[in-house]
Amino acid sequence: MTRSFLRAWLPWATMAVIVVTVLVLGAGRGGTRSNKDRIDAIAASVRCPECRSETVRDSSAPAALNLRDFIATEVGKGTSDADVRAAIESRFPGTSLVPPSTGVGALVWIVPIVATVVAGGALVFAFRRWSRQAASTAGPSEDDRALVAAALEHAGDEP
Amino acid sequence: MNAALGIAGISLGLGACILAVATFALGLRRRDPRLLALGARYGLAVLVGIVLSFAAMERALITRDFRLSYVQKVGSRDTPALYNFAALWSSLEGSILLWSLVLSVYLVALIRRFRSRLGDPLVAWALLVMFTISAFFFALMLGPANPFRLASVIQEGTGPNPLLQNHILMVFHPPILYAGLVGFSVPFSFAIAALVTGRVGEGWLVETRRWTLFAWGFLTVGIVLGAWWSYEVLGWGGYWGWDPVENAVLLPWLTGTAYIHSVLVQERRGMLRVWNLSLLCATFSLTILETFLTRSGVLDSVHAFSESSIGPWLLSFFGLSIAVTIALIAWRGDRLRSPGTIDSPISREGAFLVNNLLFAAFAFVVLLGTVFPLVVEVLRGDKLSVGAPFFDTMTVPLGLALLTLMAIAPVLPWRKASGELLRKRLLWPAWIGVGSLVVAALAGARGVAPLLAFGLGGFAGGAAVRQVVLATRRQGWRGLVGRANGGMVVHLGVVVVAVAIAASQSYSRQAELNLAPNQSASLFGHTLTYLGLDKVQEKARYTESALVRVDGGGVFKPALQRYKRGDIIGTPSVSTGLLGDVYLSLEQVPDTDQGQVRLKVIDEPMALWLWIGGGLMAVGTVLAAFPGRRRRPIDPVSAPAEIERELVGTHG
Amino acid sequence: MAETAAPAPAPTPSGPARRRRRLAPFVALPVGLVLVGFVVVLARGKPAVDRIIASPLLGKPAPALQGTTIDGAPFSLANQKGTWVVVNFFAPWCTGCRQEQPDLVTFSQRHQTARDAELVGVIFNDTAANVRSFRQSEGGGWPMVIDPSGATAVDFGVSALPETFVIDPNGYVQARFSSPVTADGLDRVIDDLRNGVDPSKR
Repeated sequence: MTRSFLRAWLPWATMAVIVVTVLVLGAGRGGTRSNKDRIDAIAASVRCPECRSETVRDSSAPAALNLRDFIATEVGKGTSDADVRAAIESRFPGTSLVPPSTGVGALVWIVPIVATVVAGGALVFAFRRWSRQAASTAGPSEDDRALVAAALEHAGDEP
Repeated sequence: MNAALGIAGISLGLGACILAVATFALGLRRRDPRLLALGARYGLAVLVGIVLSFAAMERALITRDFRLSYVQKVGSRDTPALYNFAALWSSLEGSILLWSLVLSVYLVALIRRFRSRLGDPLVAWALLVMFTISAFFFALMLGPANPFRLASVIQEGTGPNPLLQNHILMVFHPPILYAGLVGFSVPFSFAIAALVTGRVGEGWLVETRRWTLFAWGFLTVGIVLGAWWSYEVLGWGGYWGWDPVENAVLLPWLTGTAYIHSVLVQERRGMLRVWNLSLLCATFSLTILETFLTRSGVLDSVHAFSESSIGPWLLSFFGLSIAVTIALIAWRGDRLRSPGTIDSPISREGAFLVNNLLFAAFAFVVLLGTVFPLVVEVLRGDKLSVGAPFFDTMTVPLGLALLTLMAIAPVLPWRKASGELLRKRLLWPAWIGVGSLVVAALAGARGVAPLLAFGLGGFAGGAAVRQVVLATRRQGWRGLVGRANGGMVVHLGVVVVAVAIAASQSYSRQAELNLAPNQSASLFGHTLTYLGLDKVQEKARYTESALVRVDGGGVFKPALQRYKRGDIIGTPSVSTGLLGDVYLSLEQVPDTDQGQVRLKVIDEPMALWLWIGGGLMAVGTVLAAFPGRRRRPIDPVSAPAEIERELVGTHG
Repeated sequence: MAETAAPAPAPTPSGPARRRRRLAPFVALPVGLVLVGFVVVLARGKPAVDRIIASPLLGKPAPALQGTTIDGAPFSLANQKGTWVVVNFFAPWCTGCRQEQPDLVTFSQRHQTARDAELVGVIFNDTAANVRSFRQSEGGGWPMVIDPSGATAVDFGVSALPETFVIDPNGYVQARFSSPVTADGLDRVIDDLRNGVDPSKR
């Protein structure tokens, strides 16, 4: 490792170490998510079964109030967010605002990722093609060289 | 009288549009520049017509002319004057009236701007397209969205939806938003004109650059104002809900931003011509899709106007604009493809291409998530919902990737960059990024995504500041204006907004408080004292507010308003601070004056910076519109490179 | 003025010949097809108001609807034969119902003199007292039937609000709305049904 290589890369290596350390130490649930926050978050991700186009969190329908109580009880018992949502979904199918990860609903997750990967791949392919083209046309072609040689031969001639 | 005037104005406008289209078509066919100049004259008649109608409607609202069905819908005797004026655009038909007004203003401004080039077929085609778009919207007003329809039964109006009359932003948000959405008709018209005439590599792109920039700027400000209004009025402490109508407005903004960046590649290298034309046409089509989604009601939304008869018209127009675009690109696309190549992905061109990829992916995610429930319901009959959890999960990585790109791209030279150059130029922005990350972590931030947002935000902000500092050092105050420098200010605004979003989404907390009069509570680091109730009876509403003193300072009044027409609306009150807002909502009023009040308190960190960031983006747009220093031709823009000796040295 | 042909000043290199392939139509075609599909899907989407959906009751005699209104008067759907009846399931906590309230008021006023269409409400999952106080501020004078056990709602197949049914003068169910309704929308549907047109095919 030469001196100049170290000098160039040392600050970056240091930064990388700091960043990774901070991220590892700082990972985990951001903010203080109280039970109340969890209840609200789950309630906001379920559509009210009795009142169309409102979430359980916002609706004042009796079913929504019951569901809020249900969510509060479950969160108090320590059930995970996913389990609570699954329980509600089994009682009231079609109300979850989180598209399922199986079946037709999964498409909404898969299609964008696949499309982006494909587009990214196309971009990489295009870059490769361009740089190959740039490389192959670098330097003068045979015809151009012949042209220059011919012109040089007559360079000393009368104008 | 008002109705007659209104209909007359609209008919005048529509007639003028049709005549103009016919004149232009004839003039283009016969290649007669005099006909083309004549066609442009009709623009003034269009403007006169729509101004007349707009004035007639305002007059009807102000005089409470309840013979008009629309005035009955949105007007009332008790609405305060300013909101009564703004009530014109609070419902469907009036919103089309406003849209047509903005469109006509753009039309006339365009004609004036190009008045010396009216004989040019490209300009003529662009104006023909503009007149056609205007004709469509005027026809809407004579058909399904007639604001001047007479009511069958004359009764007192009940006024606009109370949510639309308790905040001043209602007066500004729609007109500014429309100035943005409608503004994209101009570059679209030129894009169609370029495709039809086959002339792409010319000055029209530069000449319409400022129009596109202003449209984009208005759209940005319009969206930020909409978010601010949601925040101040709706009571849930949020500013963006991934509601279908919000998504519909975001889509043209995303493609418009992609265009603003990739057009620089076209200007500099002559490349991506067809792609840019497609982006422009897509942006315009998305604005029409936005009007359709907002007004047809096919997607459940809090915001949607609820009418069903205008849907087919708007959808057909959307279909038409897409069909014309696709047909023209299929026909002309190959002739217009540029022969250039991009030498290296590590270059500014490469960065702009990646930028476009990310924005296109973002737009695709938003579009797919918004229409997916509809597609599934139509194709399979299943009821499925796609909400905030989906959008948040998919867009956060894209946002972080864009922040990273914003950090690296400004220092990239054109054509090719070496690792050494990047390392040198990015060094101290990177240190700023690491610094921000550490500071955020020390301040208590947790969670990988927000921490990354803070760190990358610092990195991107540092890169933007570096550019501005270098420019001002070289050119003094002129280092702040011009496209590149104004763009850096816009980037700074975006960084501020991104950091504010990360903070307010990840770290907001809420709780409910029950307080008796003169009782205090300490919550989220603030002291809240409930002072008592305040009751005010106005003409149209009865307001009960809870007086709450925050941190021994100002008194805030979250309220519950009971309107004469029956709705009960909660009005939150926000104590704004530099580091965060205390957001107060009145949940329940006590039965007696001595009783306990129930308040919902939300702690929103960094909320103010959302609006400051938005303001920065607006300022940056204005700065970018200024003409910058004319670049001297011999100024290097690429990085220094080794010249191949072989090419030069074979002979003496 | 430049010519309309695209400029091609650079000499083509004498390496592998670069033919300008017809790429645009091949890209435009699939994109166009996807977009056409998109437009078709949007066209088939149901609107947010006056949304008509299917019901197993269509074309069949309406379920019995009898009970006491909030004013204490008895009501029976069977007695309404001879006029069109619009049955609106309602609760004050439902925002969609509050949204359609002014239109229902308009509808009931419009047909008050001609008496060719009757509007009747059924309370869904709420108390008569709540409905009475709602009516005090929002108006509405048509019969509002109390459905204490929710049996009527079950008979009609109603699980979410707002929902409205249109019943013809012979007592058969002819249309079902699963969204807030407008006065004009109701009138349009009743006219369609009178003329033998299927309102859901509009």
